[in-house]
Amino acid sequence: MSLLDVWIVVVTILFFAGTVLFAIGCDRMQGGKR
Amino acid sequence: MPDWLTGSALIQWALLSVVLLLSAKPLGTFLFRVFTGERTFLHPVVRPLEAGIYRLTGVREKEEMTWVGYLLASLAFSVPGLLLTFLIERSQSLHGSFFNPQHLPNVPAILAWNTAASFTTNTNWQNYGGESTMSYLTQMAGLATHNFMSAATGIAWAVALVRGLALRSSRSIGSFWVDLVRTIVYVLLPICIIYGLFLVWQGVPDNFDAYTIAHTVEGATQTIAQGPVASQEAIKLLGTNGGGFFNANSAHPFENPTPLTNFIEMLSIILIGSGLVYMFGKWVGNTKQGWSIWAAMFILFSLGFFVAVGAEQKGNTLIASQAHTAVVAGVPGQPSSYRGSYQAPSDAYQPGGNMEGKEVRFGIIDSALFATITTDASCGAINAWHESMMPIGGLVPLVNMATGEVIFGGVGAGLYGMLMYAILAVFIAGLMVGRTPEYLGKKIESFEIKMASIALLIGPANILIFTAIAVLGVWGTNQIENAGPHGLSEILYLYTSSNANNGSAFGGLTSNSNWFNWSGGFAMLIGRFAFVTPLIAIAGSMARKRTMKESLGTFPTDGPTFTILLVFVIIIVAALTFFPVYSLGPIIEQLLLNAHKTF
Repeated sequence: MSLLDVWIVVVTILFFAGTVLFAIGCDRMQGGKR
Repeated sequence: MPDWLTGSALIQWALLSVVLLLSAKPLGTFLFRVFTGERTFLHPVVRPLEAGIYRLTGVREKEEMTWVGYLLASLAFSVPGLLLTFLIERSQSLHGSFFNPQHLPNVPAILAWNTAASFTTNTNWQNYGGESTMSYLTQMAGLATHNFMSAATGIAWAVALVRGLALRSSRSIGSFWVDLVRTIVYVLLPICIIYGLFLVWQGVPDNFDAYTIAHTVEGATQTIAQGPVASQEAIKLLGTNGGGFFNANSAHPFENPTPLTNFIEMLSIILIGSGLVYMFGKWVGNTKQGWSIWAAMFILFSLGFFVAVGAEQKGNTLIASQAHTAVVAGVPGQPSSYRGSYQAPSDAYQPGGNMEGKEVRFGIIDSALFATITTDASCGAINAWHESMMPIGGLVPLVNMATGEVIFGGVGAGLYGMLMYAILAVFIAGLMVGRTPEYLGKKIESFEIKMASIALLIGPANILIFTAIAVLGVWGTNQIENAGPHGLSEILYLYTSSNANNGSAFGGLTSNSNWFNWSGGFAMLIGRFAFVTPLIAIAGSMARKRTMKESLGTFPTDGPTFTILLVFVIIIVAALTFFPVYSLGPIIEQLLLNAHKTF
């Protein structure tokens, strides 16, 4: 394992964290319709 | 009958279409019973397995999820899968002689990440040759396992959207874990067991032997690669994954040995996608809703096939004109008016049309049909070289993928993509008649349109921005083999295929580079997860709504008018978004070819 491997794992997790934020953003767009 | 259309092409298209049509209802009914938890003929055997998995994993079968919970569960399932595949690839040197008899080294880091992202997203883009890069353990535990998991994830998302459309006043859209498990144990595994045995019967190997060294009659030596092929091949096609065990994919005789396997492979790519559409109609209580979408898919499939086979059958006009000149000059050969008995050749020098890049066993018709189907769905398996298709022939796979592969589509992905277009179609129809749009008795409001618009824009942005960056500098242009519009098509195809999670390669591009491994990997992840997020949001929003009674202003979505509207919405929205870049790529290439200029 190298630094590049670690970097790849971090980048992957960051991407999915971004997707989660995107989903939360979409949920917020529904406004008061809960 | 015109030169470009033959009886053989019509028969192949008709046979496949009839089998697909006949299978839709029984398969769709079976899928409906599976996902609604009704008893099926597999229950005596499979139900104990399903219940055992729930007990083992702590999944509560009755517990349902909101759309956010459903999506997060699918992400929580995909992230470790991606990282585990990455780890398996990076540790090949530890796999031992049984699982790595060729002693293949660890996969380089960036290639390993690209491959892991590729298989997690159901893309199966391959920047490597399977037989020369991946150990048997990687092929099975990393790649074939993901073929099941990613396909099941896609189907689960589609089921969630269908459930959202069918439910009334509900906050939940089902359980991701239950949908996932049911897809695998009731649908994918049983079919793949039978399918794999069928492939073995037809001559596809499935073993753990080291590669065979053969001595040819000429005294040369040849390495014959083999391995656990049949088991991976079955899910490769059924799950619309497309990643071949061998670099040559379904053009390889060990992956696709006979005309029968070729037919079954094509059928199996769109089989589940077709069945899911019927399931949708049944679930919403009106099978005509499903058939109207099925018909739109069938029209688009047929259009694509006849354009592709026409372009390929007609062949290269440049070669045809040179051949004619050669005949006039007295070079031995057949006159240009020669016609074969079962295929219409352009001339004696390219009998049957454009055979470049085609596997001779399959010829033009089966290659064009396979190319159309594999890009209608998000499969990406190939039995011919797409780059060698005529420019207009190669445009068909590009357009198919640019639609979001909604023509039967990837397992699950096709249906949820098509339902996005259906929502847009009723919105447009609503604008035309000046009423609030409705779909399946539910009002389509601003939130649904916002989400559908976001989903619709993600694809073109993903494809065009990455393509634009790639053609700006040496990181992209150094890797292309051909100059001019063909070179642009090579890059455009990569990102279109990656975004659509197709995985078929155009070819002519050295995509195993740092830039293409990174950018292609992200294009796949965005095309999968960013695209599906707003669609699952629509599922959640639609599930909460109450249904209304039909009124005079309701636009009927279960008849031919809706089918035609849907077809035009797809063509206008998807195809015209990309028209400028197509005119710089395959369209101008065809025009220049007509003027005897090639690249």
